[in-house]
Amino acid sequence: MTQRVLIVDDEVQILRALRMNLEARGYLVTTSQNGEEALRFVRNEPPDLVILDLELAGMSGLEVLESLRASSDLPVIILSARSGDPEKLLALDEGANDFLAKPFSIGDLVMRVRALLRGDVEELTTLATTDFTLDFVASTASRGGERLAFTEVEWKILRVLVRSGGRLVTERQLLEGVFGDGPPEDGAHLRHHVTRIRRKLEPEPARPRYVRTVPGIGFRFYNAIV
Amino acid sequence: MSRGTLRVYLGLAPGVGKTFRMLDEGWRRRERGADVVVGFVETHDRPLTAAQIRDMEVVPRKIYDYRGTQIQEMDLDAVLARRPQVALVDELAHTNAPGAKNEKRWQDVEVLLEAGIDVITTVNIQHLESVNDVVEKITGIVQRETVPDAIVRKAEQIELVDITPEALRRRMAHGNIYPAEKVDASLSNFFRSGNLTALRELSLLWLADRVEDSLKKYLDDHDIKESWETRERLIVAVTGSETDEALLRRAARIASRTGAELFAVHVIDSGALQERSADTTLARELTVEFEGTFQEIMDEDVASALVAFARSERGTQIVMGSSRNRKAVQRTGVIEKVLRQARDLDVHIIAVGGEKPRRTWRRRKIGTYSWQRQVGGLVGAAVLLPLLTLALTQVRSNVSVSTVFLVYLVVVLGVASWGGVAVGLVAAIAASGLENYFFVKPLHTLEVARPDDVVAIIAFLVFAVGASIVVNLFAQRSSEAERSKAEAEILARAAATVATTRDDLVPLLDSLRAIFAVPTVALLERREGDWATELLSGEEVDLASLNARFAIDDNHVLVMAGSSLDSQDRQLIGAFAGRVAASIESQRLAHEAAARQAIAETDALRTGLLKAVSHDLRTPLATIEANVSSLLQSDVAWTSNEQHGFLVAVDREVRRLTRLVTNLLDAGRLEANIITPRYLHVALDDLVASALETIDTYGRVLAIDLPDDLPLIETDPDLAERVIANVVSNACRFGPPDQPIRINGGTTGHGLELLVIDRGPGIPEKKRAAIMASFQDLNDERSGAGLGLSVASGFMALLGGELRFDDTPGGGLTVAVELARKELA
Repeated sequence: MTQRVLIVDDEVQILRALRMNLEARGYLVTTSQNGEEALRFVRNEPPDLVILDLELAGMSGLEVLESLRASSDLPVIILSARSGDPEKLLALDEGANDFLAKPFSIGDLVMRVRALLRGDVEELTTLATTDFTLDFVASTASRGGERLAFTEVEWKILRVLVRSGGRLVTERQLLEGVFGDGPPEDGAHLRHHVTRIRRKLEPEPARPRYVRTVPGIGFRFYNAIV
Repeated sequence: MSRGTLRVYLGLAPGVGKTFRMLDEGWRRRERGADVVVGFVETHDRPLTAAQIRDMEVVPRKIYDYRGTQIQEMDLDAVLARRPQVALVDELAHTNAPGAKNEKRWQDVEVLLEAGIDVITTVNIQHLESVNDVVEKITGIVQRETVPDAIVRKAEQIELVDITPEALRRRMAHGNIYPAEKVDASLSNFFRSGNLTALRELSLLWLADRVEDSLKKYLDDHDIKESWETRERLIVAVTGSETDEALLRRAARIASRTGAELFAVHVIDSGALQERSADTTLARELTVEFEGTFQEIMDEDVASALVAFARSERGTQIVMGSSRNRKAVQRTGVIEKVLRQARDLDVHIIAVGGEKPRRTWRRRKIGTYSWQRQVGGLVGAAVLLPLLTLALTQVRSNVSVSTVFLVYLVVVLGVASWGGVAVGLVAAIAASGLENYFFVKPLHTLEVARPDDVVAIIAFLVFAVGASIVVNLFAQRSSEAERSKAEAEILARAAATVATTRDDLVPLLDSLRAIFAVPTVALLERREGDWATELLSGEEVDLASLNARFAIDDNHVLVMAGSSLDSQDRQLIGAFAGRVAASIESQRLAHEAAARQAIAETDALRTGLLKAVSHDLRTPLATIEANVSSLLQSDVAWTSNEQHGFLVAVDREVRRLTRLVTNLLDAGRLEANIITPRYLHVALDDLVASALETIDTYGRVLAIDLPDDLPLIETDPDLAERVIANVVSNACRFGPPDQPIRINGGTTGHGLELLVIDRGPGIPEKKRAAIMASFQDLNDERSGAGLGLSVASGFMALLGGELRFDDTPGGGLTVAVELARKELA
């Protein structure tokens, strides 16, 4: 079934470029230049994903997100004006699933769209990258022919991250995914485990390629093959 | 066998040349025929130091194996067996490898000395136990290797290997101390010029204390009373008056310039205890604040006591205040006397009397006396008159009535001058009654026999009352004189206040309140039609109850509570209000001028910035234009390879433009002061990793070295990421292609520090300040880089940190990103 994407941005050139790119990759694209219209589209014919610019004329992106979240939890990617935009954090708090700062490359956008539409990887069995392989069934891992040993917590973290398949996983989501509803763990503790995972998996742990951190927000698992 | 002698070379920091000097001394002794061996010398791979060993005999080191690492230590037994006359042993504070005989090297040295071997050794000031905590405060680095002071103090000779901080930093920059690879955050932090200056001072002080120890012994041995100048000792003579503050501050400045110790002394003049009450509270507090000692001594002869004190404390300088106020007149004599007696001491006379001592002026109602004085006068009359009467009746036969009258008159005038006209009147009537009863015939009746006695009594009464009035008038005049002096003072102060800040008006209101003895004086300002209190002196009261108002200008009014004011008062307050008005006006003008100045500066800045970035903007735009228009040409059929090439170029230039525009926008945001950091707990390595994702490394190799155990830092991740991105981007752009860019992180005493080390051309000292100050002086080829670093520096200031520029040892730029520690929640 063709997946439907609604793009809300008041810049015609951006809409055009995004539409061409997403249509070329087989998505059905609807565009809108203002919030009211976008919300109407969502009511009449709900899309599978919304790409929402925060800076809209009239109704602001944040307001659109707010009324959208009142009735639906469909995935939303926020486009913010610049990386340091405080609205970005507000939007994530409001329930946006991911964000991208303008200007962005199409590659980054497509990756996020795919990750969000794919949903969780249900049958998590193995993952093979150019640098390592992970076998989630047997709980074994190897890198360049060498076996890697992970602790139980590290396996749990890897499971949550790999299952998310490139989506932004906030620190809270990861903590919940790993430790469940148990006693609250702190972020520093989590980070410690992530650092250890990186040292085992990453070819260059100081510049992680797979397990990346979005400072102050969360984590993202990149896989070149995805 | 006598104990060997110890010679210590004391350094302020690594790299000052201690080992070199130690070897030098070794050679000197050897040339004099001594048997000298090297017990242990650490060359730190410094070629000059290594060369200095030349062919001197080196006792082979002993190797200890500790957890797979081989550690080389001095072979104590081998040195003892060799029995040289002199052994050179480096780094006294060194901790030996586990398994060695002694835990510390200084213990090894003790053994050598006990064995009668002379030892020449080296130590850095930061390793001395007593200054350990100070060093930690200065440098933020905990020194674990320490040596007890007593060990070094016991040395026969201690020589400071002195070098200016600038010279040491030059050595560091030239790579003479450590190779660039070894420079990490803490080391770079340690070699800051401020740290080195402080360490040098500390070394000198430590040494000075030491010098003084031996001096004290010498003085005691020889019973020498004259002052000896080692460390300057400053004796400040305070008086317990208002001028003490100025005097002490000046003295503290002199003391800090010369590194002198401060002694404040107050000599209480025991011969004039009643004269005035001296308040030395302030002087005591200030002395403590300036880390001096406060003492109070009592003596009749202030000058002699002062000089004696100076001698007993081995003072080198005496500081005294000279003021033009009344009190100082007596002091002038003291100053002269001190100058005469203090032959070998420097005496500073400091003018502190420009300002009169502040006195609280109490307004006395004209023509009236306080009830206390009136009662006092009445009591005086009630006591003196009967006493006088009793005395005169004893000698009645020997004195004439007119003499009696005159004596009574004296008493009446006395009580009148104390208690006022009313008291004088009562006393006069009582006195005339007493005269009549006891001295005018017929005696012991109130009848008067002779008419001329009647005239005499009436004349006495008239004269006594009249004289009382005159005395009273005189008192009034002098009180008026006092008041006009106060008025003059208040006006003078008002004049001085003009064109300064609004807060300075408060003391003015205070004096106004004091002079008119009212509970409240306030300055009201009209804001949107309503009067609001702008400044207030005294009690908080309902503004409506303030009954005296003086308009200053359309929007300001001065109000006073309390007594009604006469026309003279109104005139004075009117003049005062005029001053306040002028002050407010000039403040407004000053504000405007400052605003204009700021606008002018901003304009200049914008022009400079525009000039600076136009080159950087044009270049990528030109490239994009050329590549895109090539693609749009219809007369050429480009191969897909060629098309791809054009697009890659466009993509790269667009990224470059993006970065530049981002920096420009950020510069604007910084300039407009509209960035509010949002603090989150983040890890330095995450910040570095995500910063590196956003930049063009120009193909440079990055050598990243971040310890795993760095604590989280509370900062704004976006801003911090941009700082790191800009700094690394700059390093990549200007570092030579074949040299890696080093990124080191670590903790310092103040937080975390990230060092970005390149081997490029560096940035001259002069330009660094400009980059940090603002976006100035950027109109050269390197404009983009300057802008990036300026923005980084601006962000760091916002984040409560600092961007520090340093020379890379061996050439290049090292940028330290100092993220200040915040307590983790």
